[in-house]
Amino acid sequence: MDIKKFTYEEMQEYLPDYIFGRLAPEERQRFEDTLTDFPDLQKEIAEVQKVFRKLESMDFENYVERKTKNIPVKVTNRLQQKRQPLVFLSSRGFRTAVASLGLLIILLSLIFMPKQRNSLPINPKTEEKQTAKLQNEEPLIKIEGMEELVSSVPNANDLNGASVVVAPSIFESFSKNSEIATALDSLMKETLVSSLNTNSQISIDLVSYSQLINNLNQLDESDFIELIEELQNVNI
Amino acid sequence: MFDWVLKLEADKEILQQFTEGNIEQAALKLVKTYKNFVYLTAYRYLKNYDDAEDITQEVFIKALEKLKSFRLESTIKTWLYRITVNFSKNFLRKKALYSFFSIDKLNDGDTEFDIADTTKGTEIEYKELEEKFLQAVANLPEKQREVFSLRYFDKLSFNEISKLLGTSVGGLKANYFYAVRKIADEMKKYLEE
Repeated sequence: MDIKKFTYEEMQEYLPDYIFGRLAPEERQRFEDTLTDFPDLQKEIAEVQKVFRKLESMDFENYVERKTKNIPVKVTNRLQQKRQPLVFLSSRGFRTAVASLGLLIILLSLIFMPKQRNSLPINPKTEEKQTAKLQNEEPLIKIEGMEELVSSVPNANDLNGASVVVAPSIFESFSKNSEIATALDSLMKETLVSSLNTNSQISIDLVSYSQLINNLNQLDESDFIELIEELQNVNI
Repeated sequence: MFDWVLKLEADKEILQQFTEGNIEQAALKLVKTYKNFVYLTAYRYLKNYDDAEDITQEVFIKALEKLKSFRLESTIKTWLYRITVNFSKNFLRKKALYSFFSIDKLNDGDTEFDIADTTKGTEIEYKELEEKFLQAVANLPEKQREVFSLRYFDKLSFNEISKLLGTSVGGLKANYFYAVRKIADEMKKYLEE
């Protein structure tokens, strides 16, 4: 039986698979039958085979394996790192912390609600005018009971190291932990003092502030409301 | 044909483990099975071992994120090949951009194999040859390089390579022949030394 031979181009196309032993038996037979017609290809096959035999004896797989041996560990570590935030979110500790924080916010808002009801809304225009007026030496506003209250507040300069009765912390009422109450109180004082210093140009001492708070705490609620109403009626 | 069936079976096993919730086992099997393939593919584009390793890790992380939606319309190997090529090309684009703005200098220093840890003469010789071989492959024109690697290292059929590279089987065979010839020419000088 006469086998149909390959063309030169076809021989070139099949050459690598012939060298690497990847031709089907019929193709291999046909290739070898045709090869006798092309001495240049025979020479080429011999050269390529020589090179690749040497290369294939080098255990190339092992060479690459050595280079990639740590990749599974690295990928696994990176995947675990990626998953960690989610694990943290679903952890019992995190849920407890969120619940505690929520409870704390509710408690704080319950405590501050009555105070906020009594606070005055600040009109930016009025605030500007007030600042300007406060810079004058003479007080322009006269409120019943205010003189008495202000006179009872000692000036820091007058105290000169005298023992000062510190106002009871307004946070003591809701926190049994005195350290937290003290910390919150001092934080509030600092904030208020710095705010007054920058906004109204009034320099106020922490001790004076304590006395003021002390006196305000002693006022009845009705007196306090009356005081605020009077303030609201004042035309500046 | 038998290879193809084996590949599909291995892929099915990985996917099955993944869908059954054995994610870590599936991930480990996927990485162990295809790490060399992904690494070599990345190296052919990047010509830098450190970059190839980084890209290999990125490819597997991406693949594991998307494995849930993988359908066995192709093998995992060809799917990984596409991801690797895309990642490598993007990496090269970014690197070129950075080097243009001098943000990051191109680091060609580690393309050479570090032989400091080798002691035996033949071992050094072999490692150098392996290195030269990889470099010879990496220096081929893209089409020749890819068809050679996918056929020689990864044992893909011409039909599979044709689908991956979008080239006719005839064209691939011609490219394969020229690639083999060039590598043989290149390696001959090192083997004769």
